[in-house]
Amino acid sequence: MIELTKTRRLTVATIVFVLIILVGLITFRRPDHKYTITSQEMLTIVNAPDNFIQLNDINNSALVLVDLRQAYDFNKGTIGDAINIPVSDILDKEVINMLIDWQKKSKTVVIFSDNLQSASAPWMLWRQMGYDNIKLLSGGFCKYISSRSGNEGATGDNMTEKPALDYGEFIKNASGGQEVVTPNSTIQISPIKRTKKSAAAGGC
Amino acid sequence: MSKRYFILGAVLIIVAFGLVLLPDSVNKDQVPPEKLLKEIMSQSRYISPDLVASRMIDEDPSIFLVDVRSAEEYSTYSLPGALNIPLENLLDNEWKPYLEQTGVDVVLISNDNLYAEQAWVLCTRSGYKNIYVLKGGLNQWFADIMQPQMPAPTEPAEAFDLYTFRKGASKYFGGGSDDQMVTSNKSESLPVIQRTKKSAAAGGC
Repeated sequence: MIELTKTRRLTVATIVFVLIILVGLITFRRPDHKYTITSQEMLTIVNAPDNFIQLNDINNSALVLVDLRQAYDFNKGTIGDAINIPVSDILDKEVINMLIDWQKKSKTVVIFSDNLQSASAPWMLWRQMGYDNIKLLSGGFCKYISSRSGNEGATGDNMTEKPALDYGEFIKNASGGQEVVTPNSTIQISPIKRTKKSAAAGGC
Repeated sequence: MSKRYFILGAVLIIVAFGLVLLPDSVNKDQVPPEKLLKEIMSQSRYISPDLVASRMIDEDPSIFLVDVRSAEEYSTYSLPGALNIPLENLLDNEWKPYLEQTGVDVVLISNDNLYAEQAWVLCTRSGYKNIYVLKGGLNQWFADIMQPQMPAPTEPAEAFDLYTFRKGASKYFGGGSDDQMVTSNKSESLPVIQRTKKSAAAGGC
């Protein structure tokens, strides 16, 4: 008799335990989106020169053009037969499925927005999630329009990040021929040495 | 009887080990893609040259400039007090303590927005707070602050106030706009304009 109650207690405990584990497994939320490369790898990609497609090369049927602007702007006109994916939708399920599809067919996806800067953050997000067939359109939509209207050749160097003027020279002239004061690296803030990030850091 | 306990114990231990393996520990300290997208869509990361200039003139200790251009470009010219962290070295451990600040607004600077923006994405993914991008970069800085354009006579008074401020700032940062010196001598004392909206980018709760 004693033996029997012991066994029953054991069984009940086991069932409860297994149930708890099952509930835990079922409610465990697997993240929908994951980074597949580390920040360091992304940094290497960012510094590589082959992230851009020039405006001259977009008439290639192997390319898929994606317009990241809002639908309103897209409806007013776009480049060729571009597909509209507003930035707010870039993690949507259908969009991700399209990306996977393009990646399987090894098509190069060229994304653009008004300018290069506004397309670069979504591009980085996608690249970090592992879609490595995505490139940026050098210059963006504004450059495309100005090259169409003949103001500026599409052959020109459309890269941003070019200084508009020689800053050092400008300052030298402006300050009456004085020697340019090169920035002295006096750092105003003291670096915060942190051995370990505490779990509860930040937040209100 | 004891055999049953034994088996049960073994099963529980195995299951417990299985639980340890479950969470993906690789991305633990990072901002998930969904949240990163929200940050990308929010435009609050951009800080205007006027605001940066105003805070620098006021010697605001809570603003920290980081120049992400190459060391070569940095040595030619950079904003006063800026620290040079070339983009390719951004994630080096050496710089982490500077970027991962709590009470300081870190402003990333490049010639245009692009490199600063890319640096911003990587910093944000790493979970750093209070990272900003100088809107338009140094090109915009020179267009706005160093070579301010005289507003048209029909423009509102605010435009002229802004113009006056920019001229003062231009002098402060070594631009010394020439026409200013001809038209007025008041520029000897720096017109430091107390602007009301100074705390727009202060962040916090």
